[in-house]
Amino acid sequence: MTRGWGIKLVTYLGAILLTMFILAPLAWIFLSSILPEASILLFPPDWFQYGLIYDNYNYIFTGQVPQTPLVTGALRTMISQEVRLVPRAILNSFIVAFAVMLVNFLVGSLAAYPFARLRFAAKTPIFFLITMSRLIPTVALAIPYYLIVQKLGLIDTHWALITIYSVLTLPFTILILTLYFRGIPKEIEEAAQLDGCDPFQTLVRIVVPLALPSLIGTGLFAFMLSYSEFLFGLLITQSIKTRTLPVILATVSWNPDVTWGLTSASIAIGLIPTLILVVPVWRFMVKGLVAGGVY
Amino acid sequence: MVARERLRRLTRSIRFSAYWMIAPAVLLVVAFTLYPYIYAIWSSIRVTSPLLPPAFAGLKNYEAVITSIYFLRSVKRTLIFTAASVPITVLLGLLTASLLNRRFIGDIALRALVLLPWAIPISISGVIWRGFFNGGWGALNALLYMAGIIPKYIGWLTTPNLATLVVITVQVWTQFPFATVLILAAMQAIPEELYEAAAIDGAGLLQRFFYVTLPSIRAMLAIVIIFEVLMGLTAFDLTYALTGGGPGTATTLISYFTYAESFKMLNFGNGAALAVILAAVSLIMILAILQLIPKGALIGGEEG
Amino acid sequence: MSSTKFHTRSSKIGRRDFLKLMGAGAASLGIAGIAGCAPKPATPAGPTSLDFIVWSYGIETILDNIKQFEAAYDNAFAVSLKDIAWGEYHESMVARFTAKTPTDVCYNGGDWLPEFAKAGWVVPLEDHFPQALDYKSDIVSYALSDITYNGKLYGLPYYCDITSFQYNAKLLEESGIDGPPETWEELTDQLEFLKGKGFDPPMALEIAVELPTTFDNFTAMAYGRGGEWFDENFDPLFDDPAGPMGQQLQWMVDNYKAGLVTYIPHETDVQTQLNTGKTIYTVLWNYNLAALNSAGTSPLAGQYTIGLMPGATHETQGMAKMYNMTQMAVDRGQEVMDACWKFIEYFAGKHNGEYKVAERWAVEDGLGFGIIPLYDDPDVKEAFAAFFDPVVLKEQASLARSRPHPEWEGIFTEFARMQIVSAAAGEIAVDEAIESMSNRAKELKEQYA
Repeated sequence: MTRGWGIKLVTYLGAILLTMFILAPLAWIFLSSILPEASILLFPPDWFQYGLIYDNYNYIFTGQVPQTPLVTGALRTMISQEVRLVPRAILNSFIVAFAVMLVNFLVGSLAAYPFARLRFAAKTPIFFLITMSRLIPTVALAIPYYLIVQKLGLIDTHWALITIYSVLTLPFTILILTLYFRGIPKEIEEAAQLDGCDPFQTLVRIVVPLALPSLIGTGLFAFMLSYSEFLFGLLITQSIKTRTLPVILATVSWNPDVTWGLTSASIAIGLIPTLILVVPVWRFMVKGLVAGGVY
Repeated sequence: MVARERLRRLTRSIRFSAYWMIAPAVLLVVAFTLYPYIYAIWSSIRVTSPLLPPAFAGLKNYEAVITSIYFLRSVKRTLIFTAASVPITVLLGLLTASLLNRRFIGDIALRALVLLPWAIPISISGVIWRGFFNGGWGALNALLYMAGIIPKYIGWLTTPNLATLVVITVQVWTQFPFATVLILAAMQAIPEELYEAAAIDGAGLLQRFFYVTLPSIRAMLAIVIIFEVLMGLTAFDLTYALTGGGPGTATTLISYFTYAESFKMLNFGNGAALAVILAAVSLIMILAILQLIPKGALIGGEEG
Repeated sequence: MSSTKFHTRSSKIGRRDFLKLMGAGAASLGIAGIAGCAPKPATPAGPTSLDFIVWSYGIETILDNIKQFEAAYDNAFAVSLKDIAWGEYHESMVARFTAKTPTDVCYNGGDWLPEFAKAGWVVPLEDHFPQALDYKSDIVSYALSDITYNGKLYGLPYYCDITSFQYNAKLLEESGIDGPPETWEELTDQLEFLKGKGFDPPMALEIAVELPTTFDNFTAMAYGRGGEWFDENFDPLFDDPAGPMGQQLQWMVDNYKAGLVTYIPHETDVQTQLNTGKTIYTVLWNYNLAALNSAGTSPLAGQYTIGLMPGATHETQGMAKMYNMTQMAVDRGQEVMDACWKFIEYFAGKHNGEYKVAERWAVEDGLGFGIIPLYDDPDVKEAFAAFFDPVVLKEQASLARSRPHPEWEGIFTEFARMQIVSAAAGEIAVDEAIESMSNRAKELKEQYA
């Protein structure tokens, strides 16, 4: 009995500590976004001295310039225009990430099946080529990637980002899907083959439905990575038509004409889609990453 | 005889389809991997800078990079950073996965929460934590001060050893969710019978962990460790936003210089040489880690 | 025979299904883009198109300026604006030029001009449009030397600034100190006094190895002592550890170790540090002072002012950001070049006798300018009075000079920044840092000769 209590205690203690670790900086972001700058910077700390404000959000969505409570002297305002591009950047990131997810879904499952099930020449080398292709740090790939994109005439397009992010995410997708497909009982597929299905038909009719959690899981994984990639977003996008969220947020946090509160508000808005997405990711990912048989 | 003939035909068709099916992935990867790799290696043995006449350099770029003032120091820092952040990440991932593998009140909410840090762009995580640890007005100082734990604010990001700890902490924060998900997935795939058998043999909680859980998730742990080592060796966005590499050069990691050589100093040759060295080190580490898992676990024979 | 048949049948199905699938996926793969990447046909009838590249600052204002420019010329030109985050502008432009991504006019910095000019990416404006030289007399000296390379005028200024010594005048007065220090040594005394009064840390500097501004800040402080990096032949003038550069570095280590100065990465965080009211002094580009004194971003707006850079000469560093025409524009022909000139003149020079765009930046955003007539512009005067002490600003600006920029400056500053930061944090000795910087400079001069 005492033993069970001990485990329970450790479980809840662990859960609480974990929650604090994860949420601490995020809570500060949300709080900062609704505090007047003067309250944030006060010493000794007294965060609620000047109440709560929604000016930062208001500015991002309507362009109405926020006022700090301790106005002295200065007549003019100087405030970042770039912050107001956050909502559009979220949309861009979403479009790109969603397309990458689809590519992973299609190309990933097509490639993983032969690696999992079929026998063909040079299988192992090709598999290693794909899974090890992420070895060179992306920083070193920046120039050649840029050159390829440029030659294809795709600078400042979503297509370029979709292609690059697909390349960056596919190795992982293929690795995980291969493992998953191999975990599916072989007998089911053999039955399909006896019915006259070729490998492609077997994949579409039998394997994909069975591996749906894994497909969605790896797809969402690809989505998340694409949604948060920074370096290529920076190099490839050159206008707000294509610019992605991480790039805009980085710009905002570098420009001298933003307050910490305004930076926080733009980060907070950028986090909303992430918050919405983590729930389904969880549901599919854990179920989908491993079907068993990986020892 | 007929059966054998049929089998041969079937095998042929399988091969043909196999190539078709992997073609899109292979094409993409070859176009965006082989070419950049060759480009990088080629640049690394040539004088490649818009400011200098192109010429063959042999191993001079490598020599220049290795003998540079930053190389040894930042390699050492990067190794320390990786050696500290990877085990902590994996351990925390393991603990979190074990926790989430249990049922308790609020477990679903915590599961969603755990993924959050990983879904945030790393460069932005840097900004977020910079505000939290800020020495002048950050939340941590304010909270510790209000609780009466510290009499005056601490320069978390401006004191060398503390800044190193902060950078490691944030790296763990951004990375452990991914480790958790993978490890938990592997844990849930362990057949219940194994635990039952162990319980019958009288194994306790810890014994079951060491004799059933750990061996069962070995392949996955290897994948996680490989991934995290790569993330550690190539960590780049994080320090820029968090510490700017400081104070002093306390948190300047090697991949910053890969970037600086190419883009700030316009010496693509040196940048490429550094990248090749980094890739070689990564490869060696990966091969070493792969030794830990049984042959064929990742890409097996036809038996799967 | 039958084997072949089987083979064909199977592959047919495989391929058909595969293509069907790919049809859906092709678009996502960007294969459509590969097919359609033939160069756009020229359209001589329409407006001349210009690709204008800037860093991400004030995009709405720029777009509005472009609209007015296009209207002023009856839409004979169509300008397409691309912007790149400031923190990565240099590297993105390098990628852009290396890959020949269409770029006709771009922002550039005086520190990058020699590099971009030597690489053949940007061209001397005066070679193609000698009338640009008429603007020389209107431009302040530090800006003029930043937009000039190898004796040739390459561009016209977008924005010019000086690094300044900034402080919270209200808190300084309340603490009982009469005014800002004359010398760095006097500053040390003040900092000790202020620390005793509870200002902790009393001074914050933006010093971080990965942030380029670090080099500017250090240079400006050493200029206050009369220091200099290079002579006109780019031979080092700083080799003596007891010279101004070495002295300033030593000053930083001593004050850092005494807890009087803290190093903060990112100027925005230096601003917030000052806005906590615990820190009095800093050295930053002057535009930060405009931000500090803006009610929209700063809770202590109005309390900050500019002081002369401490040191024997009170000199500081000035710089210019400019509009450049690119080699790519030249390659596109005379028509495009003419369009570039009209564009640059509209944005940086006079249109109908007025410096319209530069004035707008100064009035609306407090951006510094390097155009002498604008100092007497009533709107600019009024706007600047809210941000800066006009008398001190003018005096400091007259004491500003631009840094000599060798072509290898990008490489040198990367190296020097590491040394400066290491030494300033006490990781290596000052002598050691000075010596290795000087050796590196000599090496680079030889290598890039």
